[in-house]
Amino acid sequence: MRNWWNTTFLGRSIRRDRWLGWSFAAFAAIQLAAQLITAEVTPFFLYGMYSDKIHPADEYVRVTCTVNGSALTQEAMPRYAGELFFSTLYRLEGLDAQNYDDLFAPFIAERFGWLPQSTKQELSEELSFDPKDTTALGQWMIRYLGRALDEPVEEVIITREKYIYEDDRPVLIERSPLLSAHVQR
Amino acid sequence: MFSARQRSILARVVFGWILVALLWRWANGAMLSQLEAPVLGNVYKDLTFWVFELLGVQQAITGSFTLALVFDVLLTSSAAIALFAPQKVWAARTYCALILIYFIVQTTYANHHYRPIIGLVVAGLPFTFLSLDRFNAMFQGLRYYLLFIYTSAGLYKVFRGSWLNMDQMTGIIQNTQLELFLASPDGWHAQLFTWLLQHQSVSWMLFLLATVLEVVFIIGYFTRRYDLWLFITAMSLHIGFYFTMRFFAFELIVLDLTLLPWERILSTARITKVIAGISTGGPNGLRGTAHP
Repeated sequence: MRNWWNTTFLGRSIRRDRWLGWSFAAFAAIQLAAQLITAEVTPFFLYGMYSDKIHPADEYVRVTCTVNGSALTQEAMPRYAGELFFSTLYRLEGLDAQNYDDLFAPFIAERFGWLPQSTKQELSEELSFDPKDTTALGQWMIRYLGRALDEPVEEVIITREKYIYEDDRPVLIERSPLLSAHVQR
Repeated sequence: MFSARQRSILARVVFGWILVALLWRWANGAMLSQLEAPVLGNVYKDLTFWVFELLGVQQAITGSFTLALVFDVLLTSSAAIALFAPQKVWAARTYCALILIYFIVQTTYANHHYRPIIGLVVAGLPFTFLSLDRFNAMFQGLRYYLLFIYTSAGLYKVFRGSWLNMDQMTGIIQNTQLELFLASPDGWHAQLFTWLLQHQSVSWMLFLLATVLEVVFIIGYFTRRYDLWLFITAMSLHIGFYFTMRFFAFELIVLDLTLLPWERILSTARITKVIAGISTGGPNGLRGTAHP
């Protein structure tokens, strides 16, 4: 058993350099523990992308953006800017759909139920998005798109659309406004 | 065991890759000074992100253009210094500290926990050691970490049962490619996705194949004999992800490089001398040392 251990990467590392070897061992142990309790605490990551069972949904939500009267798609933006901007729109849509009940309160109740109620409440409020900041969010969209598109942005309108798939093609079934922002002078 | 000269060539390869990735981010408006003081972020269920948020780090950096710009310039120049002067371990150490902060702040406001950037976060770690023993151990450690990324991604799919879910890819395509179907329904990529939706068993087999190819990386824990095949497998997965999910993990590929037979590649004395000579301005290059 001991001979086997000495041939492993961890065994060799500990034998050659106690400090580095035990650092590797500690990292590996915490990383494995994080997998077991499914807790993601940077730099201990979980790599379970698309591993949950995913089934076709009854309907799908799309968020659209109109800038100065013209439709803007993620494809029309630089890759990372487009991902950041449209992911922010989808986060806003998710919050709006949940009446701005962010994801933190249920998670804190589940994993940190032992904390005093006032602490849990305070923590949840600190981490959650405050709906009062929606106007500031609209102004950020104007600033960010102005930079990303390299043109003055006067107006941004965000709309939620719902689709179903018919014959493997999406069909629009509902459209509702989500946010509209105008430049403030 | 890598020599000091080989270490500096590897530093050049890794930090060259990192610098390209950072410059791409600059060009795409993804650096912190380009975020225009964002308002809506997401700290997910990640306690490290929570601590940063509670301390006000994300807001403090992005809220001040000057501070964010100084941060971005320091991050980029530390990677550049580590590229051009690999013996300066303080540059690699500065880069590693700053990229972790960048990862947390940028990911908060990117509003999605983008995994491939982790390649940029950990790839510089071996170069924080001047000691060749520690560098070699850390480089090997990085290889094991890469194996863990792929293996655990595959095992999650096995243990959670998604590998047996026949409509897994149908659900993924319908959800993630909605925009493509609407924006360019007649393009080749939309046509491919439509075909995959019409042939559910084929799309499921592709998902199953991806799962198998990820689990296969477990071999790397027992032998290095198949590392080159694992590298080819990794590249195949990246190409496959692009075609079937329109997802290209450029930043993660830098970690795949740990699977290449660098000792054999760099033992070609002429290549080693040329690259090391260019970088250090002379034939002696970086003096080898086994001590920090």
